[in-house]
Amino acid sequence: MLKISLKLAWKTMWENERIYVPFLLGCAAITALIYSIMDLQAFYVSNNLYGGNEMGTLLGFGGMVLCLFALFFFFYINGFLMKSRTAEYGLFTVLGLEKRHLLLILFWQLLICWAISLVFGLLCGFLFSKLMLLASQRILGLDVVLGFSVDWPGATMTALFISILFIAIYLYSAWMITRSDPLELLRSSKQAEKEPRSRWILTLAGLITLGAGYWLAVTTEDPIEAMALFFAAVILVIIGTYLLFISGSVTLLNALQKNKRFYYKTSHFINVSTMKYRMKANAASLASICILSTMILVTISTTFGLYSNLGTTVEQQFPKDINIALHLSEDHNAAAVNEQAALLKQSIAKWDPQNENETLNKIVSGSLKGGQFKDENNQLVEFLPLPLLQTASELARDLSLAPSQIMVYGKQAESIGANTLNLFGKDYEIVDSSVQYPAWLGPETQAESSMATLIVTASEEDMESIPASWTLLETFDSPSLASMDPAQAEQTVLDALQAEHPSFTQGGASLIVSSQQNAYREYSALYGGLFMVGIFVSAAILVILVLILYYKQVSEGYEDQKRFAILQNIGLEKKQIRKLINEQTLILFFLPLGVAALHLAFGFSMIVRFLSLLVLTEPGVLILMAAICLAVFALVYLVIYRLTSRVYYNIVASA
Amino acid sequence: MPILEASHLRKIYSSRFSATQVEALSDVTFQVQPGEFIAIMGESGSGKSTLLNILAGIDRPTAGEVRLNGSSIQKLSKRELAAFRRNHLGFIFQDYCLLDTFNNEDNILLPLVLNGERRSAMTERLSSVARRLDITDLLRKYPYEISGGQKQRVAVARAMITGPAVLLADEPTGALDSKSSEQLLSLFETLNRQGQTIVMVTHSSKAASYASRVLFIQDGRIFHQIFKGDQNRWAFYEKINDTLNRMAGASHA
Repeated sequence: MLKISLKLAWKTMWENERIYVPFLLGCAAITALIYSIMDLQAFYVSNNLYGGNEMGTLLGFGGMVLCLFALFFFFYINGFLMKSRTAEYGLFTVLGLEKRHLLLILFWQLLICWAISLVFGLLCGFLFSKLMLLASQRILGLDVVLGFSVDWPGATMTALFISILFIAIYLYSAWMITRSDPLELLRSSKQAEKEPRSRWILTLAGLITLGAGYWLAVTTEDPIEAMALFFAAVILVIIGTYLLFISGSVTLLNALQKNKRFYYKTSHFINVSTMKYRMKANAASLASICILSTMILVTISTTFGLYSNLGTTVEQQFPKDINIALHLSEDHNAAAVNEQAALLKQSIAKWDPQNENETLNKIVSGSLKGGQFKDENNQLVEFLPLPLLQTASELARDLSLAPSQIMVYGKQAESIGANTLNLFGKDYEIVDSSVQYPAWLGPETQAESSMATLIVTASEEDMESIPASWTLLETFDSPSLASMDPAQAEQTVLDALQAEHPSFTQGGASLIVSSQQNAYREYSALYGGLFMVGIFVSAAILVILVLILYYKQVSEGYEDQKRFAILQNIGLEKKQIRKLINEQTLILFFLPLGVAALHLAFGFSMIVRFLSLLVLTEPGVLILMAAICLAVFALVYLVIYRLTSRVYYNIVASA
Repeated sequence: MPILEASHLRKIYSSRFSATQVEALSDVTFQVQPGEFIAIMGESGSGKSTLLNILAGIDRPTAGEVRLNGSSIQKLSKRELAAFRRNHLGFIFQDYCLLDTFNNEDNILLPLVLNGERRSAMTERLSSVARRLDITDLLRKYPYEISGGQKQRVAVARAMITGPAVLLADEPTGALDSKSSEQLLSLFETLNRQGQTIVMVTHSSKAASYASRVLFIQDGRIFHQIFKGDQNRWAFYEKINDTLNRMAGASHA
C-alpha cells in the first residue's frame, strides 16, 4: 500500500501540474524570503556594525510579518489544492480506497511538496540573501563584503517553520477528508448558484465607511493625530472595500440589468449577467487583492520616500558637521547658563574660528497667556533668532523681521489672544502665529519642538534681555569642523569638552554631541532598514497576490468552461467569446488595481502628514515616488494578467 | 425545392498522435422538404450525432456538402456561419444548454440580443413564442428553479424565437421522464403541423414515431428510411421497431 499510495500521490500531482507547480513555486519563494530576512538579520546582529542593530531589529520585525503572511498563504492556497483533490479522492473512494489510504496519499503529496519547496526555496534563499545583503550594505554605506556563506541556524529555523506550516495544513486537510462524505467527494459538478441579490443597506454601509475613511485621511491636519487616526482610517477603508466589492458590485450590476436599454445590448447582455455571478463568487478575493495591492503601494512608496529624503532630513537637523547641546539642570539660572555657554564658545573657537552659529538658542519655561510672558506652568518656550534659522534652513532665507517683530508657532500660539506679546518688559508685534509649524522650520521632532512653543526673534539681542532669574534649560551650538575626521568627530569633541570643562557633565548637567555623519548612518540604518523590510514584505505580498490571481483564473476557467461551450453551441463565434472573456478578465483584474490606486491617492495626504514628523518631505517628491511605484506595480500586474488570462483562456477554449 | 440537403457527406476523425482513422460518416445523402418532421435513428456510435453536428455547422464534413435553402453552408466564413446558425437554425440539446446566469426570459432572448435586435421587436417575439409554448409563467424564473420538461420548453422557445428554417434537436427527450417526453413530442408535432421543419436525432422508437419520416443510420451510412404516411402513431411505432430488429439481425448475420 505504501508503494501504491506513493505512486498515486506522484501521479496525481504530475497530472495536475497546473495546480501544483505554482503552489511549489510560491512555497519556494516564501521559503527563500523567510530565509533571506533571517540571514540578513543574523548578519547585522552578529557583526557589530554602525547602524547594524537598528537594521537587525527592523528585519526581525519584518521576519515576523513575513511569517504571518506565510501562514495566510499556506492555508489560502491549500484551499484551492483541496478543491482539486476532492474530485480525485472521490474517484479513489469509488475504486475501493479507504479514508486511511486517502490520508496516506495526502501525506505523500504534502511530503513531496514539502521536500521540493524546502530544497528549492533554500537554494534560492542562499542566492537571494546575498543579493539583499549587498543592497543593504550599499544602503548603509558600508564597505561591501563579498563572499558566500550559508547561515545554517537561519536555514534550520526556516526549515522548521515551513515544516510546521506543512504539518498544520496536513492536519487541517486530513480533518477535512475524515469529515467528508465519499459520495460528496465524487460529485464534482456544482449545484447551480442562486441569483445574487442587491443589498442596498450593505452597499450604503460600504459607501459610508469608505467615505468616512477617505474623509479622515483627507481632513486630518495634525501629524500626531494623523498617526493615531491612520489605523482607524485603514480599518474603515478595509471594511468599506470588502462591503463595496461584495454587495456594491452586485447591487450595481443588478441596477444595470434593470435598465433594459443598457442591458439588452449585445456587448452588455452576457457580460453584465455573467459578471454578477463572478462577482458573487470572487468579490472577497478581489477585495483582498485590492487591499494587498494597496499595502504594497503604501509600504514601498512610504519606505522609499523616507529613504530617498534621507539627505535632506539630516542636513535639516545638522546644518553643520556637528551638533552640541548642553542641558543644564533647572536650578541653573540664566547667568550660570551664559557662563557655561561662554566656556563652550571658547572651546569651539579652537576648532572652528569662524563659527557663525555662536549664538546659542535658549529654552525657557513660561506662559504666553494674554500677551504677557510669565514664568509659570513649565511649558517649554524656545527662542530662536532669525539669522540662526537662516543659516540652517534654505527655506527661511527669504523671511525678514523688523526689530520689534516676532513670530510664534506651536502649542501656545493660540492662547496668546493678542497681536502683541510683552517679553521682559518690551512689546513685540506678532506678525505670524500658528499652531502648525511652517515648513521652513524643518521636521517637527527636532528639539522636542512639537511639544514646545517657538518664538522667532529678529536678532539675538532680543534674547539677551532674558533676565538672569529666569530658568534656562538648554544651550545649543552647531559649528563646522573642517579640521576633523568626520568619522571621529563626535568622540573627539565629546572627550575634549569633558576633559576641559568637568562642569558640563556634573550636577545634573548633560552634554550631547552628535555628528552629521553618524546621524546620517543612523538614519540610513533606520530608514534603509524600513525600506528593506518594505521590499521583503512587498515581495511576499506579491507572491501571494500572483498565486491568488492565478488560482482564481484556473478555478474560474473550469467553472466557465461549460458556460462558454453553451454560448458556442447556440451560435457565438470563438472570436466573440474571446472578446467577452477578455472584457471580463480585464474588469476583474483591473478593478482591484484601480481601487488600490484610489486608496493610495486618498491615503496620500495622511501619509505625507505623518511622514512630516520624521523627515522634511516635499509632497511633490513623494507623489512622484508613489506614481513611480504605482507604474511599476501596474506593469508587474499586467504581466501577471497576460500570463494567467492565457491559462484561463486555454481552459475555457478546451471545452 | 428541399429546404435542407445533405449530399455525399463523409467525415473521418483522425488523431494527431496515431495513424488510426475513424470513419464516422461514409456517404450520407438525403433531403428534407419544407414542413417535414424527420427523425434520425441509430445506435450509439452509428454517426447520428456527427451527422447532426455537420447539419448544424458545428462540425465540418471531410467531403460532401450541406445546403440550406439551396446555398452551401460550407462556403460561409466562420463569422458568417455563426450568424447564419443563429438566424436560420434552431437547436435543442439533450442537456438543455440553458445558462444558469440568465433567467428564462433572457435565455430565450439570447439569440436576438446577439443579433442586435431592437428591444421592441424582442418583447413582441418573446410574448408570442411564450404564448405558443405556454411558458409565460416561467419567464421570470431561473432554469434551476424549474423541472426538466419545463427547461426543455424554454430551450425550444430559445430555438424558435429567431423563426428558424429548420429546428435541429439532438436527443431532446434523453433527460426527460416519460410524461415530459410525451408533452415535448406533442409540442414538436404541433409546431410541425403549424409548418415548422424539424430534424431530430433520437434512439427512442417512441420519440421517432411522432415524426413523419424516419432515417436509420448504421455504420456511417443511411441504412433505410420509412414514411409514416396515413398510419397512426402506434402502427408507425411497430414498423420502426420492426426495422430496428431487422437492422440488428442484419448486423448479426
